[in-house]
Amino acid sequence: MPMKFLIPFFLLGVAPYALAQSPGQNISVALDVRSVSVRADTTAVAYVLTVLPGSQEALSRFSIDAPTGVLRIAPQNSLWVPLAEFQGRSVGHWITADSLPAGSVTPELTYEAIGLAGILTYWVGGVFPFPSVEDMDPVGSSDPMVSEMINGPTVGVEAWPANRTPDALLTRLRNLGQRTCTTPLMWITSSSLCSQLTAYVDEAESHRASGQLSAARTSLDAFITALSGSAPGTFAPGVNSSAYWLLRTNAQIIRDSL
Amino acid sequence: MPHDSLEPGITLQLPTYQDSVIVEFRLEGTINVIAAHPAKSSTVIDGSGFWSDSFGACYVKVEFRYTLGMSLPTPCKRIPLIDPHVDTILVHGQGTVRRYPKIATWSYECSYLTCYKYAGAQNYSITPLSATINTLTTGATVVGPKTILIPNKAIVFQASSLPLKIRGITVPVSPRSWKWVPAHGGQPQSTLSCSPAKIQCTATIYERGLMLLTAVVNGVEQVDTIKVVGSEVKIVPDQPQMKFWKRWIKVKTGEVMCNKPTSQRITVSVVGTDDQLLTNQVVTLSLAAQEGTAGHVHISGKPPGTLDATSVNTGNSGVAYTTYRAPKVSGPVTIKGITSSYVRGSVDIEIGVFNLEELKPGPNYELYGARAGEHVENHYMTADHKDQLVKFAAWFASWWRPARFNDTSLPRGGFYDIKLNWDQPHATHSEGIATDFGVKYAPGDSLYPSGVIRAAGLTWQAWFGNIGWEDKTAQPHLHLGPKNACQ
Repeated sequence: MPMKFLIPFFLLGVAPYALAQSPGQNISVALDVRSVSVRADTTAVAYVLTVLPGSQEALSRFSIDAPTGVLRIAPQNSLWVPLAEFQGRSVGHWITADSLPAGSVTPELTYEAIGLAGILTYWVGGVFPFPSVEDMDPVGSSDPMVSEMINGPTVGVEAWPANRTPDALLTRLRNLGQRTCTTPLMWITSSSLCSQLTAYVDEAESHRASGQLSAARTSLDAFITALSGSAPGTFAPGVNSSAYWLLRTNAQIIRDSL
Repeated sequence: MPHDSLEPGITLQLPTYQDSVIVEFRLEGTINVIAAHPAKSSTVIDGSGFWSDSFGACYVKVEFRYTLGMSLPTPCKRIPLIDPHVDTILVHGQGTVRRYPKIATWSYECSYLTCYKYAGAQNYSITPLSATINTLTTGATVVGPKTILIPNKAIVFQASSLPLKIRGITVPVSPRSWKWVPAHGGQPQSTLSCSPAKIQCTATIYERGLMLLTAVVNGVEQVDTIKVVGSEVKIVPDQPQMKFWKRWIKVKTGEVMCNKPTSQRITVSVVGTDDQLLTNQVVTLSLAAQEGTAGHVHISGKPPGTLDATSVNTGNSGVAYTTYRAPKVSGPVTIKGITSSYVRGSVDIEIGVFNLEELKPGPNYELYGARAGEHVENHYMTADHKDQLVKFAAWFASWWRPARFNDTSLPRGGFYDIKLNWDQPHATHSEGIATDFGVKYAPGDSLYPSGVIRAAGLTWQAWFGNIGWEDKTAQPHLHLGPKNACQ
């Protein structure tokens, strides 16, 4: 997907936070899911963040919920500190020592966890001066993820469902597709494509139920093709990176299990 | 004492005595002096030796000799023989027992041949004699064996021995220490003017307790006690230890940021010598913080906390109560009580937190901030916080450079008064749960890059808690704090 499309889309997504006044929350970013890859029972996700023009604060940290724990996280170098928890909560957490003001773009921030792609919460924090010792909250009543960062939904790795049968995963795929097509996500803005995607899932489900596994796989191939753009690495019109990688990866997992 | 047939001379080492000791020397057995030439006669001699008329001297005699003190059996060649020879003397230092010399002869006396040979054996022993330490008192009322009444005045204790003399020699007594141990176990109210090596000790005793004398008596270190009994004010806290008052304000605004006062009940009574409660006694109470404790090297004006009542009446029950409120600094505090008839008593309460451990130097961090004459033990913390710092330093060292840790807390916590005022700032360094993280390469050097400081702070926050910034100091630092500093 061209960046030209992506930025306006995310401007919509972060608009409510632009009004926030708490230090760390005066930041606007575009979050791009660059890739999702599956290996056995683990899934790796790569993100790139762009600090949007007009963002009052530079980027200092990014976090993604990781309910099953973090197996690997990168990059780890003099400019980036990757962590696997935030105050006892399992997250992928990246802190930068770099200066990333408005207009800056991060390198790919990747993590791997046991599970499969799902819709999870991310947090972004801007640079702000630490409070003086005297001004510190003595009882730590506030959660920095709430008071010092903004958040939103994105693609992350969630736990495998208890029922991993193709039927159950197809039902889950249908639900994910519907969520991406509706508010508040609206990751797919084409209603016709949304209907088509649901139809492909229905077909696959029907074929699988009648034992026509090859036909079911064909339906899932069509599902993936419908999400994809005409050129490699692009997405269909009205589909953003989050929707593409979320639905494509889950469809592929089901296809491979048939 | 072995010998060969031609040479009776021999020297053997005796036990060494660092202190003067009365000992008994004992020598048993005789030496046969055997004529090896017809011109000579055989004889038997004891330890006093063989008298030679030719030379007018004594030979083959036995001598005990010490650095200080000696014994030489006499007279020479006495008839009848004296066997055993026994002598009691005062010795000190290193010693030897020696038999010497062989009998002198002119070379021509026995046709240039041997005149005498020697046979027989002598056994020796050296035995320190027994004496027991004995403490005497002057000016005290003795109420039993080694028991006196509280004198409430200066009395004299004297180190002595039983017996005083052994075979006419005064038993050596060398005091090593005088120690007063109050029965209440706390800080003594009594005063001693006693040098360790002095034979006498003048003490003003105001309370029950024991006077302990350690002395070397005839070479053996021994301990003696004099028990002091009498009426006493008993002051009993519900708990011997308690936490300090945790309170600090925001200096800019005066807003109270944390306020956790601590207090406990104090029970006061007066008991007679027989430990029976005395009723309707008025006891005046006072407090004294013990200076130079709990990590505060600086002294003067240490706050002791407060008592709700400084005068109580034990009433008909013989027992009164008041409340003690702890200060904001740690260390022992003595509560003293005295009646109008000068019956006294006291108790110590330890103020602080008692679970702190010292962070020792490590490869991934440098410790600094100790200030001679002020606070020199500045890296005490809870085990959890220690684990946090070690983990944080390991990460920071691998990512950037070894960490530099300034103040955490004093050994018993409480206000870490860097301004030596028993007060703020640094209030959150009271429980070993927060540490200052230096952000300079070295004192006087430049700060780390801002991104590094920020990443360090955010990493601490993500892992462990809360972050503050302090740059209005010669040592700018991040304050690595807990989530909740006012627990």
